[in-house]
Amino acid sequence: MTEDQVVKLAEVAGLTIDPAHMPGVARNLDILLAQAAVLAQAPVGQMVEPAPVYRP
Amino acid sequence: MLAERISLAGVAETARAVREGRISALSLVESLFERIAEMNPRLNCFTDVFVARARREAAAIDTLVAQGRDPGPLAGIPFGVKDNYDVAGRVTTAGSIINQALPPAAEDAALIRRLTRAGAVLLGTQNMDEFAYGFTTENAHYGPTHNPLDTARSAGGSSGGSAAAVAAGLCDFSLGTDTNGSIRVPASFCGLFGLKPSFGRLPRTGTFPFVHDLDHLGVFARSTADLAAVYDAIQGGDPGDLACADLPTAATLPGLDEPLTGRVGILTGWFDDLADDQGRDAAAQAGAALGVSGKIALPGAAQARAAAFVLTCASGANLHFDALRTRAQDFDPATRDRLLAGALLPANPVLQAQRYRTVFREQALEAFSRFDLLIAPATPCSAPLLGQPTIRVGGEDVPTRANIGLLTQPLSFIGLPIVAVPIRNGAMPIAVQLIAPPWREDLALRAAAQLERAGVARGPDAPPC
Repeated sequence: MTEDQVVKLAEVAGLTIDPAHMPGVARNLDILLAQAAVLAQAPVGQMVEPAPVYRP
Repeated sequence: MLAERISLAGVAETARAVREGRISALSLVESLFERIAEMNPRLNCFTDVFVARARREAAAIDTLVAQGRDPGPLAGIPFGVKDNYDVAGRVTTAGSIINQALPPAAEDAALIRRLTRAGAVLLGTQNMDEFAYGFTTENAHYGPTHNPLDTARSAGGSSGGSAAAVAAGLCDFSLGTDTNGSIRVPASFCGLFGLKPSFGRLPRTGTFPFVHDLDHLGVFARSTADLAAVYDAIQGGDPGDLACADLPTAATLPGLDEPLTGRVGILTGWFDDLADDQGRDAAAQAGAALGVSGKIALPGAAQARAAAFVLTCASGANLHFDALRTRAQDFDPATRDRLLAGALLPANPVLQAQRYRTVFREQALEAFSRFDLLIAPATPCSAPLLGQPTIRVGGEDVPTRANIGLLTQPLSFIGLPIVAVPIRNGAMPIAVQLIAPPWREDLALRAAAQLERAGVARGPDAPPC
């Protein structure tokens, strides 16, 4: 994730990120997107309901 | 000192001594004030100590005893709480400076009120990672908490102050919170017993949230009996927590001595591959002592961990969005950068994480059709050094802070009840997770007690000086 991309995403989200914070944010967004990619491999059928208030 | 000797005998024996008038509650808290004054500057467990309140409550317990009245099952037992529990009249910082702008809490958290009614005496609040987002309690505002077993090492997090205080003998038990492993990780690093009950078992009323969907409250103690005694005093629903189930309470302490007769399985795959030799050995020791009958993998564990990771970051960002927009500079840098990243995440993976919970829950329930209890190491390694940048996991050096929860996150993601038990099979202890089916905290506690009786699990011998 480039810092330019982070700036654009932040604008869409309504956030202004201090340039000093940018490297850490970009690094963490990369980590987060890597985890999202792992999750994307999960087999979740269209009929599976979410569990926003989870009960085990 | 008599007070310290009796306190180390365990919660039940100490409370009995207080109820029988063999020791005063006031002398117990006074002895701990001395100990805290001596050790807290080195360990940084407590963020606040309530001297006047604790003296007042302890004196009230002693008055009840003198009057021949019952002060409760936890009479005079000193305890602490993580700094995200409300204490009446005090601002709940949750390890942040941002929360200092909040008004003081109007009343104690629900669990503190229950413990006070049971006779326990609150000593103070304890250090944590900012907003509970971390596994090492290296807090940029309030400093790091040091592991009492080796002060160069992390006490774990995010409930690190609560664990270190119990391990150091600064209180008899502590309340913590566990969203992704924040009770089980510090229990592993500090050599303690830790209970993370089923999601929805204990009301979170009066605690500062981190991830509403994943937040659990729980207990640190030096023995299984202590865990059970405290857990029995705090069970029960509360209308202040919408996710808290309204279930009847069921005392676990009386059944602790019953041997576990169910089928026990060791988790393989993710939980074996990402553990180190010490963790694998600890799980094997626990399995052997509990008569393990097989092994089983949860094939979706990697995705479950990823889902917990995504959900945590995005939910935390949502919770703190206003502060991220207006006061980003006031966050701990480690928290801020992760939360800002979470605020930029598209909706799709967050919704996928919520739906994957249902899938992974089915996997776990299938495993519980074959086994009554599952075992896995709690952490990929024993306590790392404070500031240590990487740990070794699966043959690779990976960032410490992001990876300490690899073995705890998939399990709290689906809200299973777990007792972390300390195994002393290395220079530093490591914990094993005893994982029970939903709502069966009693099974995990019985297994923990059995491991203690067998000498496999052992809490602190005596608090280090």
